[in-house]
Amino acid sequence: MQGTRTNVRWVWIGILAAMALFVGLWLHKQLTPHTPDIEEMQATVLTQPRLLKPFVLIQGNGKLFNNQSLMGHWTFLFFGYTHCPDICPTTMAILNQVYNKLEQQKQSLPQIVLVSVDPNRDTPRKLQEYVSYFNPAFIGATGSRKEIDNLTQQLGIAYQIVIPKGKTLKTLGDNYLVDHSGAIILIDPQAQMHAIFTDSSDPERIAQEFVAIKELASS
Amino acid sequence: MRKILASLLGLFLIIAMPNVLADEVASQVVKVSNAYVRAMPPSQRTTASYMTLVNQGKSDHQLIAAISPAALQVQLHKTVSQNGVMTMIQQPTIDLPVGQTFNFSPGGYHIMLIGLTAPLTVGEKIPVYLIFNDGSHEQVTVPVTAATK
Repeated sequence: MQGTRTNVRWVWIGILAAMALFVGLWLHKQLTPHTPDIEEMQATVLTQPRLLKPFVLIQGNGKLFNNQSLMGHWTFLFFGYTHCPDICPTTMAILNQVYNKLEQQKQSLPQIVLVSVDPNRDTPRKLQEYVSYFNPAFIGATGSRKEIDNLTQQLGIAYQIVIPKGKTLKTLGDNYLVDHSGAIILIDPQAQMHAIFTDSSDPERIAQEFVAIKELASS
Repeated sequence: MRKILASLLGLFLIIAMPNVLADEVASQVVKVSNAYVRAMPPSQRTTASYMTLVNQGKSDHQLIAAISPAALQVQLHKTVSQNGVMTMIQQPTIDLPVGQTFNFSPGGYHIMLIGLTAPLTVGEKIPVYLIFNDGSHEQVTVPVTAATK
C-alpha cells in the first residue's frame, strides 16, 4: 500500500516535471528573438555583394561622402529630397525607429544616410539640418547631378522631377515634386551593395532583418 | 375632402422625406479624429497632415478641397508605388460613402501643405478647413507633432 502511494506520487512529479519542461521550452521559444532566414526576409539579399565604383558627394559639414565613408561599418542609404511632404519624412521617422531599436538591443549601429536627388534646392547644409531633425546621428549627402546619377545608377535607384503638362522646369521655379524610389539600400563594411529593403514600412522587421543579414555576413 | 388632404399630406411626406434626409450637411455628419500635422525643420516649407474621416450621415459625401491659413496651398494627394518608385497623385475629390471610414495616413493619402506661412512648432495647433461638395465646411484644429512620430 505504502509502495503504491509512492509510485503515484512519482507519476505526479513526472507529469509536473514534463509540463514544466514544455512551458519552459515554449517560453524560451517565445522570448528568443526569431532570426529570419534569407528566404523569408522581405529584404532582397544579393547573392554576390557588389563593390561600388568611385563616387564623390558632399556632407553638410563640408566633408566628402565617398566610397571611403562606407568602409568599416554598415550603411543604410535612402534617396529623397527635403521638400518631400510624405514618403521621405515617413521613411526618415521609420529609420529613426530602426536606429533606436538597434541601440536598445546594443547592436553596433549602422550609418544612416539620406542622399538628395534634388541638388537644385537641397544645399548640403539644408539637407543636414533636415536629417538631424530626425536623428542627430543621421547624415545628409548631396552633390552634382552627375555624381548623384553615378550613385543612383549603380544602385538601381530611379528618380524623376515631376513636370506637369504644359510646364517646364523653368516655369515651375522652386515649386515641383520629385518621384523617387522608396527602397533602402544596405551597404556592407566593405563598401559593397549588400541588400535592398523594398518595403520600408515596418521598423521592427527592418531592424530584425538587418541583424540577421549582418550575422550571416560575418559567419 | 379629408381623404384628399390626407393623401396630399402623404404624398408630400413621401416626396419631402428623402429631400430632408439628403439635405443633411456634410460638415455636420463627417466626423474627424486623430488629426495631426508633421513638424519640419524651420527652413522646410512643405509638410503633410493626416486624419481619419467617418461619414456618419445618411447620404454619400465628398471632400473637394482643404485650406489653411498656415500654408499658401493645400492639396489632397495620394502616394503610390509604381514599380518601386514613389509618386504622388493629386486627388481632385475624396469620396466619403455612407458609414465608411477614410484614412489620411503616412505613405498613402495625405493633405499636403505647401508654402508654410511660418515654421510649425511641436505642440502648436493649426486650423485646417475641410470643404465638401455640398458647399459646407468644417474646421479641424490640427496639433503639430514631432517628425519622428
